[in-house]
Amino acid sequence: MKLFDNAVTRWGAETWHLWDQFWFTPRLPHTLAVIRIACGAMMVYSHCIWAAFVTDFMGATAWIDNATVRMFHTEDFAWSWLWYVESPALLFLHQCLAILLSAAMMLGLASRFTIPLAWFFTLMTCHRLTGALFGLDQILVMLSMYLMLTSCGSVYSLDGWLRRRSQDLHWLPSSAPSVLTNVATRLIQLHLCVIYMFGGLSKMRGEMWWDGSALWYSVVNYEYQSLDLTWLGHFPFIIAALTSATIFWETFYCALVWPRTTRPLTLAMAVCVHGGIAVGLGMVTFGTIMIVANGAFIDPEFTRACCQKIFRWDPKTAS
Amino acid sequence: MAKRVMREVRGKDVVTTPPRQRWKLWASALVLLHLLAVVIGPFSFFTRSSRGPSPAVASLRALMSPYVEFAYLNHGYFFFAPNPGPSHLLECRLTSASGEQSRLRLPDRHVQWPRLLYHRHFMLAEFLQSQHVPPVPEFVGESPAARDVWAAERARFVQVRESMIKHLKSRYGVESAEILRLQHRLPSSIEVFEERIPLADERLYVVLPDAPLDVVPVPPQGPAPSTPRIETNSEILAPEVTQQVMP
Repeated sequence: MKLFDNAVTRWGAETWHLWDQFWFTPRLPHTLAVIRIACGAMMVYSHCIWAAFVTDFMGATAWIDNATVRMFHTEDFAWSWLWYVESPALLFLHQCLAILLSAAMMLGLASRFTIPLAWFFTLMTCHRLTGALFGLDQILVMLSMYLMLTSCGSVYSLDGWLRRRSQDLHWLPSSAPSVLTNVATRLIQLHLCVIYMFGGLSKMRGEMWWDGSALWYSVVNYEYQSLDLTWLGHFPFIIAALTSATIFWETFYCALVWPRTTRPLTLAMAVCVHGGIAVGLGMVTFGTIMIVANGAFIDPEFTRACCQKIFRWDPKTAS
Repeated sequence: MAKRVMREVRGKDVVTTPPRQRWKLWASALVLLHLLAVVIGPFSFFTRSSRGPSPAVASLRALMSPYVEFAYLNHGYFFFAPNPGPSHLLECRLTSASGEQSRLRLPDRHVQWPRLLYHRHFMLAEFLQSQHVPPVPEFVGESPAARDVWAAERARFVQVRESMIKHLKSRYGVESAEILRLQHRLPSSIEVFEERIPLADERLYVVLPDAPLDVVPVPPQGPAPSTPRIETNSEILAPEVTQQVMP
């Protein structure tokens, strides 16, 4: 019995140690800073589209009007202040503010405040735009939600530049390794694993993903198509092999992305799959943001080394 | 890993003190709760069937719903799943006060630009299709509960369609508008290579009737969708739209 108790205690201690190491090891913010820039830029673009066609998507005479969108959310906890705004001028102003906040997030200006605000404005917009949303919006909200926990505005940013010029600005984020940066990185990584796992499992319910024809029926979808890849149909073996590779990669991403030996291959496959979606299936925004999100698996030291020449105002690289 | 990071920054910047044990426990509990919310969203989609949702998952989902729904974590991640399916489009027939008629198809890559705007319209067309419930509840039999569900779902579809019609009338200043749902079937490799059917061939499009499922869909009447664009016999459409489609 004592032997059993000892084994359980040792297992508990080892598990806690691994858990502690996984979640609470301080991490540099450089990788998340690059994700912040890309995510902020994509949010600027997305909000610009909403702003340019604001009355088509928001207000009393939108495709989905205020009353209809409220009806869809009578029994859930989604809520948006935009459900009650009908004035085109106010809606346009709202979107301009969302663009400014997203731009500030991208540039890393007052990032402790602007990233949470950019997330919240995007969340409000998403809850208003039921029916017009897709994967891009899900990933933007997800990334900005995690980024606001971190000090990702401390490098490759105006905040970093300001902090270097004046040591008195203590409210600006520090570029030191931090536990919160690590927690946010781990949450992005695990969230991606959940997305891919359920994406893979849902495909496993379809026979086209098993008989190798799914890729063909994706590339011949005229409404998605942005590059004609129907010539691939002359090579059924390649179509079937790519289909099988996609479903196995997606389903087992959650296991293959963690070991150092398989991580580069898994991430390379992510770039190929999402690059293909961006170029061939007309979803440049979604494909790009998924590649950006996969960047969360890149070591911040490696990011810092790669970005050394690009971001010369980074305090680490400038000193 | 931790030691290496700490050593590199020592002397150059403030090294963050790791949180104390109690805070780690609290943080761990929060992280686990959040991860549960992340998983329960898609998992609840998977555990639904014709017999209803899994009681275990449904209870947990209900408990987490304030957070899951407000934080926009309630997704299934069914990208091109379970199978890549046909596209759905909207064909809008507009009639002006003077009786002139025009047509508009959504999505239309020649009209909605940039691509993100096109994709938003594509999602709207798919959304209307996903909400469709036939007008005759013959499949629900005599069950009052099933009839109530049908009535609520049908009312929801009608409200979405009416909202879209209201938008069309306001946007293009027309007297009346009608929306038809189109389905664009995906061609097989035999159809594409041997029968040489173009991807946008009109034979691949059918109008989905607002009727029970046993009613046979019909091909759309009018110009071929191979050149998707607003078809108009007048200048009743908004000027910026007509300029885009009529070089």
